[in-house]
Amino acid sequence: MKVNNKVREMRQSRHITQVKMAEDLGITRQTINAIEKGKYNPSLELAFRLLAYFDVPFEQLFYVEEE
Amino acid sequence: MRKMKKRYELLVYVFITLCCFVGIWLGIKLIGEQLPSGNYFLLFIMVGALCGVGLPMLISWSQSRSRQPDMDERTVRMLKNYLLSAFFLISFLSGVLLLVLVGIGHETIELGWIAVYGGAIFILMTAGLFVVKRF
Repeated sequence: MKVNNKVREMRQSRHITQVKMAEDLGITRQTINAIEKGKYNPSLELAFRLLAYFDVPFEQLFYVEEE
Repeated sequence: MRKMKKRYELLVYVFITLCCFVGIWLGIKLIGEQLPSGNYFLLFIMVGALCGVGLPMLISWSQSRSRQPDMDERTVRMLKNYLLSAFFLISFLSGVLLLVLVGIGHETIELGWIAVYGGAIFILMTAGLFVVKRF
């Protein structure tokens, strides 16, 4: 079971750069890149911050891929 | 908050500098005769203080202009994983090295070589930490 996300799509649709998002969320740009590429699953706290940042429900940002 | 952080940073640098002086005092006590004296000794202290404290302060000052944080939850997790693997690897390799040394007939280890080995490991691990932090 793999957790995927639509952070990149959400960010690009709102014309936000990785640097701006990193500054707003108080995390590094490398972490945003890793989340977008699916190399890193954010903590529950960061996931909630991402949801609040994009103002979308959980299922719109994260989804589970059955293997 | 930022002012508070800056004050703590300054305290850390003061503590490191104090540790350096304790190190110098210990060094003089242990191998005092072999150390350079006079102006050369002062030069060594100046270069050491500049590289050890001045350079990190300069880097920290240049990075403070960015609003992006230096570390976050992912960096901490990566550093933890790195330190754990480095600890395991160093313990394992030191054990192997000891076995090899005993195997080829060594019975004692000179204190100076242990210091060189410890120093090399410390430098490598610190360099690795910086590399891991950048990813």
